[in-house]
Amino acid sequence: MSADAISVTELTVDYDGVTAIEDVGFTVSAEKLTAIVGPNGAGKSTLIKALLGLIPTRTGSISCFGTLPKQYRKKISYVPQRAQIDWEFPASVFDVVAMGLYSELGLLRYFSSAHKDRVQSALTDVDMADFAARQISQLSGGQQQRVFLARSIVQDAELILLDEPFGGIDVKSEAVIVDILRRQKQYGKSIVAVHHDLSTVTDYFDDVILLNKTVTAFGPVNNAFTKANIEKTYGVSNLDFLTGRA
Amino acid sequence: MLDDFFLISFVPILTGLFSALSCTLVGNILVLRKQAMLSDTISHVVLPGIVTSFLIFGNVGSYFMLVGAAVAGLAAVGTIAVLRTYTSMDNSAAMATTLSVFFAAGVLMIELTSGGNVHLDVEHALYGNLESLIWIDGESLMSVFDPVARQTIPVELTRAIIGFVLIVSVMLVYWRFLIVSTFDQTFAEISGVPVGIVSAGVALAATIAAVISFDAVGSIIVVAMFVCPPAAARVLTHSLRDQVWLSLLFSALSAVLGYAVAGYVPTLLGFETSISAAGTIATLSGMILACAIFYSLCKRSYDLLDGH
Repeated sequence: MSADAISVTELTVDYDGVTAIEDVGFTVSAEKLTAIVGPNGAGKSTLIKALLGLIPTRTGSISCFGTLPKQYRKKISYVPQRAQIDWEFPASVFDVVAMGLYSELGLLRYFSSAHKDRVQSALTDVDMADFAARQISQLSGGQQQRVFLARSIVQDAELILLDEPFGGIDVKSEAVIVDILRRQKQYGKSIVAVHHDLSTVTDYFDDVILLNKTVTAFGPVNNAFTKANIEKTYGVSNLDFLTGRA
Repeated sequence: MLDDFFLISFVPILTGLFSALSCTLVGNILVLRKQAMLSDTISHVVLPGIVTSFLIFGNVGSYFMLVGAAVAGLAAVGTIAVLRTYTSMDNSAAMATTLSVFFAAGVLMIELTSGGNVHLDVEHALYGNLESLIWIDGESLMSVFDPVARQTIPVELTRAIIGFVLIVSVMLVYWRFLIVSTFDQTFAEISGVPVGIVSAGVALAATIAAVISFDAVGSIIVVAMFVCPPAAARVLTHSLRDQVWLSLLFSALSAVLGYAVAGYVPTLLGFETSISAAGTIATLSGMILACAIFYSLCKRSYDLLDGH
């Protein structure tokens, strides 16, 4: 197996007629927790969309476990921002996690008891087994995020891509989710997450990608997540806020 | 009063019922996709489509009408997409302009063709004509099994049933795609769901439902059947399955009760004429929605008082 989960070279992507990211290059190591960090408007969402093959790229190449986009879609699962979802949608926790099996099941294949077991075991992985019948509108933010993680786990993808998994949830839930992600890493998954809180990067993640239209640094947090690199990425010199929760 | 039930009421009730059920089924999806306005748009824009196919083929009852309406419906969806992509208009502005301009063009086209023996009039298009669906050979339930008598069943009913069966089967087959792309479009796209085709399919299903209901309840009132029953069910339950079944129940209730009320209540009260069945059906669906909202509000405040 290749040691790189993702390899991106000279990637430029236009979004809404504007160059959102330019000449981006980095690699993501397999079986690591990697954070994508950068200021607002740095092109983090654009990068995620490009990695998922959802938007056209102008130049450059992306490969995931040695294959091109389109071919690798089955190897990636995606956890969107909670805010993008209508949580009033009439669905139970079980229903949402079962959606992770739809691409495997197609339109008409029977949803067997084996599939049901897989959904339940994914829910157990995120400590939500008792909530299967609960309507999603009646969950806390952290629980909603765990349901999405379960949906991603049930897909059995090699790489899990998360867009701000800790957005708008409390500290306790955050710790629970970090635990779940670490466990998935031990199962051999590679995890990439867009992350906002600079103060927790070193605690939560193995590797980091610092992005502001282009990549200013990437690699293990010890080497890449330095004061100089952060200043370069955020364009500020006063980083005292790093000591508190940003 | 029931002597001439099969002659006068049997076909209108069934036509209204199947039209209503078709619209409500698609309406459930539209409400979840926050596209309820699409039913309004489509039910108006099919008018120029129907008039155009009438001008070309000279027959309002033909299946060509469906094709004309479907083309107009998809043209409108395309227009909305173009307006949203290339101008700063938002979804509702794009729909509202498309709806009104297409509909106005349809009204003009009807007026321009209204010389000679044309059966297409504006009033019919707007309010429907449920009461005119007389089954000449309908004498009793046995007539349904009589092949000769069956030939005089108005084509509107046949069309409503075919449309209903079509919509039910397509929705059953594509259910997973429909739900996953409605709930989380990005996730659906990554999972390999053809979200563009699903969107177009929803618009097409709405068009079919609107067209088969066009004769029954008219182009304006049909909107009520798309939106009111699903909206009523939506406020009463958090389960999708319950929502669909409840909405179908409300829809059937409105259709059957609405026709009965319109046909029989005014006569019982001593009035000379009956009232519009289509109008009564739509009004009833609105009343059911009002009751559902009232019930859920009461239940919520009761739960609050009870400390739940």
